[in-house]
Amino acid sequence: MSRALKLQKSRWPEWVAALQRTAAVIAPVRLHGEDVAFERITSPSEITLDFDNTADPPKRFLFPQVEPLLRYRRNGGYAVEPVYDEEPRVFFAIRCCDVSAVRFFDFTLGAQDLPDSYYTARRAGTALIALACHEPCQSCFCVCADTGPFLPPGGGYDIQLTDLGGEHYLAEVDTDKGEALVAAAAELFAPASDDDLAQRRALEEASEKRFPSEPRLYFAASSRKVSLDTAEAELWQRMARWCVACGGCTHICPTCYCFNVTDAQRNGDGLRSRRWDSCQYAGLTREASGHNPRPEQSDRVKRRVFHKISYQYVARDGMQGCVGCGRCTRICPGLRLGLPEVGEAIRRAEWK
Amino acid sequence: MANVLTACPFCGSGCNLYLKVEDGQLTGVLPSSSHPTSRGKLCIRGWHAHEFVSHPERLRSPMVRKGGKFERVSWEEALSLVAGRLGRGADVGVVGSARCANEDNFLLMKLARCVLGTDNVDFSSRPQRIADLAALSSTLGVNCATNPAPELAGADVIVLVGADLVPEITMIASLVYEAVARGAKLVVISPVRTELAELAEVSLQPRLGTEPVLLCGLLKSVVDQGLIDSSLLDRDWDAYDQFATDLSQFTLDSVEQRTGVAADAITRAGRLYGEARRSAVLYSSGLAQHPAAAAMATALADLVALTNHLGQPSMGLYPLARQNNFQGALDMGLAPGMLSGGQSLGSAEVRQRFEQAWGCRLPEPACKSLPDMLGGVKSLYVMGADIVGGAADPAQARRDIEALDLLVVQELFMTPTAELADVVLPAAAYAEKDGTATCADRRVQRLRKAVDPPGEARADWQIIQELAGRLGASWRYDSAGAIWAEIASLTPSYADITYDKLDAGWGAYWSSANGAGERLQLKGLSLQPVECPPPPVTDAEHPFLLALDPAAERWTTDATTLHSDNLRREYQIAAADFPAGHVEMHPDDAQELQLRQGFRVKLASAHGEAELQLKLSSDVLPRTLVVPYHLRDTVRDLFGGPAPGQVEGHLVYSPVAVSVAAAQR
Repeated sequence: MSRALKLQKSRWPEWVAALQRTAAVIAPVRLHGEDVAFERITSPSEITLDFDNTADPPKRFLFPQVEPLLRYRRNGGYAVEPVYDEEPRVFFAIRCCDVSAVRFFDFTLGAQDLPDSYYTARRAGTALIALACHEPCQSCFCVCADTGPFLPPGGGYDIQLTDLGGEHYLAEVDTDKGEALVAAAAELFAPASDDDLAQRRALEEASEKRFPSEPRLYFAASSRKVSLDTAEAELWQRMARWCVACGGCTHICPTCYCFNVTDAQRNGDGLRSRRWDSCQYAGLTREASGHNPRPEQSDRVKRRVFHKISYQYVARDGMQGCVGCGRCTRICPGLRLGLPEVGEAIRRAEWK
Repeated sequence: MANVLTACPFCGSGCNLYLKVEDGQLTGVLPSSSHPTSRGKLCIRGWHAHEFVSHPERLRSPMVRKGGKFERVSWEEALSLVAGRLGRGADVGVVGSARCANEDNFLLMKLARCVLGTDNVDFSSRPQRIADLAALSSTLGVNCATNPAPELAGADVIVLVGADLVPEITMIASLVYEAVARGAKLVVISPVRTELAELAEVSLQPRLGTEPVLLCGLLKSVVDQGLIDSSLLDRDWDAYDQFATDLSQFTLDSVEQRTGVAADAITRAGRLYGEARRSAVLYSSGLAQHPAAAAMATALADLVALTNHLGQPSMGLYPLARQNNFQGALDMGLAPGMLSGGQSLGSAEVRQRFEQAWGCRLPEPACKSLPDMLGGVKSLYVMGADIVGGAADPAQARRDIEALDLLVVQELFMTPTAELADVVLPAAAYAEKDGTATCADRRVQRLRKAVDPPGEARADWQIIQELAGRLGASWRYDSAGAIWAEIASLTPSYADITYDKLDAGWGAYWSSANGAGERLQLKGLSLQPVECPPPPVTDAEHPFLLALDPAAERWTTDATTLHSDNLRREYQIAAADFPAGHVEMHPDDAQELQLRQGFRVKLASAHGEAELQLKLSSDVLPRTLVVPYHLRDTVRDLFGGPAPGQVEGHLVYSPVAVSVAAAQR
């Protein structure tokens, strides 16, 4: 299925313009100062490819912070009408960690036995054009999570772009969706040579070497201790002193999907929505009786780490819940509760 | 999905976030990665800053009370009614808000002074801050943060007084975490143990009501250890000698006896603060709303002045604000006797400048703050302020408001104050208008419009301009920016700040006579004596001391958080767990009295009784009880009326001795 093409670097805007004719293009845009985020673009000129990674993943376009689920109206009983978003979208220049996170969503929200129909409706029309990484970010560790800096075929992208350093991008087309994206501007593409593929492999190796020699997170060791729950309660308690319960680590995480469901009514018309929620909030698990199975913040910090790297979830979902983007390290007001920092504390059984 | 950069509407940290907009609706937020204070982070409130804006209970049209019920009316009818019935001069009061933009507050201030001819001007959260801010002015000559907040991350020693920073002002706590992670030493002073005390090098937990004594002990320890630097005191040795003499009664042994805090711990805290060059002092509501706020703020200002920990990076004093535009509301002249930028209404030169610019005669200073207005004016115009919800004595405030001839409330939601209004005017929220806000460290930042207001709601300044027009003024502001130009032209401290300048970076710091921009350079300080109030006394009949804790759950009663689903849920947990309201008690005391968590207890003081549910907490000292401030009405009788203490007409609750027993079932 997979094939490799070449795209002249200077001509990617033409390709994006062609893609815009049939889909909304979601791409990295420079905002104020150093901020870069995914945005629905109106013109290819808005896109920046000069970024390490975006402030947040493109999660919102598949699982929005506020997502309408259904409208209802009182008419003696209720008239109920679901709200599905099936807009065709292309994520352009999405990093490999974030591609892997979409793959994780496909296993969880898109699970065969219990699909989340709102997610699958959005996902069906979404194509992913990945941009491989030559440089690690300040806090990422995809090499530890096995989610980057380049992805192999079957890694979840429809097309993966690699900057070959000269005049071209290599475009690895991995799916029918990817073929359709190429077909939108087929004249821009040429077959890639064996040299190009060798160059890509060399670039991947070079990129991996640029990561710190000491892993940011020893997944196997931390996962074992978390799965077997051998970390001392006191360790969690000491970590939780640095937690302000903002929920940021879960909101920014490309694989978190907790939500709360709320109704808004006005004049007999109602809208049911879901909103991002967080396992770091005490109210998420507080039961109507008043009982809270996770009464302390330390229980909640532990809960998040469990869901990211405990083996029971890896077994259930087909992959671990952390893709190594490192955003939780940067989002943490306490500065120390990113997954690598917590994982390291668990592995070493110490928290300074 | 557009991203609109704006400043967070909740606390005084001034974090920046992007509002996500799709099809004219807010769909979420994204923290700004590169903002100097928030550094890519947000607290739980910031993460939900889009929620209340699109809540279905937002006010959408003007309403007038007719026959005891609110009826929707046109803007025309509502404003004509207000213009016809609003009093003038001494009969009218005008109340703004630390939640509104500078442009809104400035125009409200101009309406009062220029159109209504009154000096009865205030904003709702100022009265509770009069004491501490006046104390800072006396010693330092300024009553605001001396340094930019981001510098806290570089401090070597940070002293926190009366601040439960993590829940209250989270991003400032984050800067403290950053400093501690770098190796900074933290000194925490609070009668109730807070989350940050867990990370403190020295944590001092004085008995309720003895905090000023403890701070005098800290001053004494700095003096005794020779850690003073007299260069700021203009070598005024007579004043210094007098000050040292006043301090001499605070021997550390006597302080230990009175406060329960070990003398060597005080010495250690004094040494840490005095020896480190980069030493910063922070305080918040726990000090500002303390009955002895003036004494405590004076002591801290003296401490900073004595040690010359001013004027350099990562030093200084930070009086923190819990509302996003508290500093801005002060700066816009929403205070009796004061025009914008702290200019005195009594100064001939200032009056002349404003009268010339505005083409009107200014009223004489009347110095009626909000507590004086209640019961002292016939009509009240309120913008973005829940006076009842925020009053020290809500029941009394309600009575005072019901006695008014006319109450006009400009609001986002039907607050307890709006419920009592004769006319309710729907206002635009922060995300629906342009403007500026000035956060606690004096950083002026842009608010930017992301979506349209709901229904017929309008920006506050537009409503004020319409009303002014009906009252004979002919203002022609076509944008918030036009108002800003006037603010800058009439306010020396804001003179060189333009929207372009604010847009180019991350806002700008206003300057003062005490030096320009980011860091205030203070000269000619005057050490003030600390007047410690007598500590509260218990007796055999009333062995417990009870106090209100202003820091606890500040956000429980705020209209904005109550209209955000997740926030409402989080802030209402205690209320759900303890429907009758709760009082915190140390587990050892509960064991001794054979009481358990959730039990209803009867509290009795010399003045009266109250019933609450017990919440056990090791954060309070034995023999100490703490009730969150928002339950003050429930325990009102314990403190007794008439008011046990007043500062500028603002009621304060001094700790009171009580007995505890299981309530009769």
